Amino acid sequence: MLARFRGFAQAGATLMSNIHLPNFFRGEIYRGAGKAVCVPGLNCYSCPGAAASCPIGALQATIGSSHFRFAYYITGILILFGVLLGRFICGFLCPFGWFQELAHKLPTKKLSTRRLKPLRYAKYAVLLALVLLLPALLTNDLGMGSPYFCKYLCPQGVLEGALPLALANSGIRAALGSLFSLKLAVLLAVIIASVVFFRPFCKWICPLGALYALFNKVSLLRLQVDPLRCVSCGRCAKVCKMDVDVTTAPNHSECIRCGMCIGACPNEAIRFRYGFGAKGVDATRQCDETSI
Amino acid sequence: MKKLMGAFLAMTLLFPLAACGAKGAAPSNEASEDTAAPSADGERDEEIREKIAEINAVLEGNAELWNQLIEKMDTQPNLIYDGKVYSQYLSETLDANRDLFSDKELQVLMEDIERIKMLEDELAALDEGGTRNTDARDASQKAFPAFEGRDLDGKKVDSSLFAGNAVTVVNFWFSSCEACVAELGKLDELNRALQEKGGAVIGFNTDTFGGDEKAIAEAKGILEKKSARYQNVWIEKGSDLADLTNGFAGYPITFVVDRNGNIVGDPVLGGIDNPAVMELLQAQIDTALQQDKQS
Repeated sequence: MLARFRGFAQAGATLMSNIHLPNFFRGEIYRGAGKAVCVPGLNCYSCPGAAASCPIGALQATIGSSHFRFAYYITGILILFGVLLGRFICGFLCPFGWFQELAHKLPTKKLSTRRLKPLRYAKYAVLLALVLLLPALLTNDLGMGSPYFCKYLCPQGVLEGALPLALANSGIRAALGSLFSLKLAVLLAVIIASVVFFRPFCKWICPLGALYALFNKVSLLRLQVDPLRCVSCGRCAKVCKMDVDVTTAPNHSECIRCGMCIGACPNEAIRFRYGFGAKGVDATRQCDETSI
Repeated sequence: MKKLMGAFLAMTLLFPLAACGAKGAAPSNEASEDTAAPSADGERDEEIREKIAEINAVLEGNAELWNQLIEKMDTQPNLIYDGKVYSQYLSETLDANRDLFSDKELQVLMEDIERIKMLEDELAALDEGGTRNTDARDASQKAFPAFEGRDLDGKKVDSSLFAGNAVTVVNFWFSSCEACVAELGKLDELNRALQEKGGAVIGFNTDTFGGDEKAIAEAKGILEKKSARYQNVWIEKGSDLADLTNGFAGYPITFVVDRNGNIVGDPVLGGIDNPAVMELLQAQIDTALQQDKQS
């Protein structure tokens, strides 16, 4: 049932993450108190409308700082998000995830990513190298490290930050150079890939998705498959666009909790669960109980 | 269900407009203040133009004599920017070329110079009013916000410093900004080059605003490491200039300010260690120096 409103939730989350709409016309960035916290999804700090900071941007800024010892605050926030929601954030609350899904709606031939499963590990490499290690290790003479992911790879930064700012602010426009060209190329490549594949950035590149993926197994929000109702028809695995078989792994690190499997199941065997004590597969339930 | 979503969406769309309303009011107030000034200036500009026309009329009155002298001049200073210089320039040139004229002709020319000098005094009195904005085309000159603060050694600094420099390059940065820190050495070079021309670079580290001692110490450490010896200033957090910095889309950002405290051209975004950025900035510095020379 929750899955029916996913589109609205994604739209709403995108709006709430970028609530300062007049700033788009002013070509300015909101710098108020909201920026002391992070939105859960991948949303650029430099987006004119951004209500809060980007968790990945904040992580790199903290790690790259010359005073850096450990990013206590931001790690705490990420653990909190991960444990409370896990990759539900990817499925419902991330503006860039929504953007990719919108691009995917374009009527073209679609390619499956089922055979490209090894690429999934690339996002962990992006997280480890560009977000965690390089800002800490590759520093200037003052001990300051660059936010390497934001600077060289993140397409959301171009889409939400550079493009809107350049449109409204002549100073930014004049400052665009070769780095912008590189990032724009990355954005275009991701857009094209999103039309053909389902959420390629989320699967293969996003370091935030990689982080939340690690929490999926311990997250309070989970999926549960009732073994007494499941008839092993395989429809859930077939419809899953993240290439997950929910019957064998209901809390797989690639599951973004979109709920398409729930909709496909003929027997209502799959459901969302929230809270402690919920197991992935509930073997103790009685036959005659009905699910909500 | 759809109606509910529609209503919800409508409400959330109205929400940010209210939230940003307070911040939005400030820039529009500034804008209306700017447009209020030119209409009063319009009358003054009219009078200024009349005075200049009178000066030209004096010269035309004895055209044949003046032409002889003007031929001896290799450059003609612009009449519009500071009339005072012109009469002095004329009398100096006349002194150097006395033998060209008979005594009687000399007397005529010197009387003309006296009359021109009087008109110049009247021009100067008109100028005293508002911005020295005698160029009618340039009605949209933007003044750099007035400020008062202290430099990182505690010395008092305020916007009167602009009057003492032919051009002032104002750079905004903060301590954890990698790009800002990277250009500090170049800014120091620029400062030394400008000092020879009567200009200067000053820096504002936004972390130090409000006088936070830790931030000031950190800024000083960074400046020392990068051998940047030019003045850096901190101001109070609620001030006009501090509010302006909240609206900057990025750092480092550099303004060129002329002697009258007006911003020349658009602010330049990016570090001047990038040659393309330095080119943009240098063009504005050159414009400001040129304008200053003519006044």
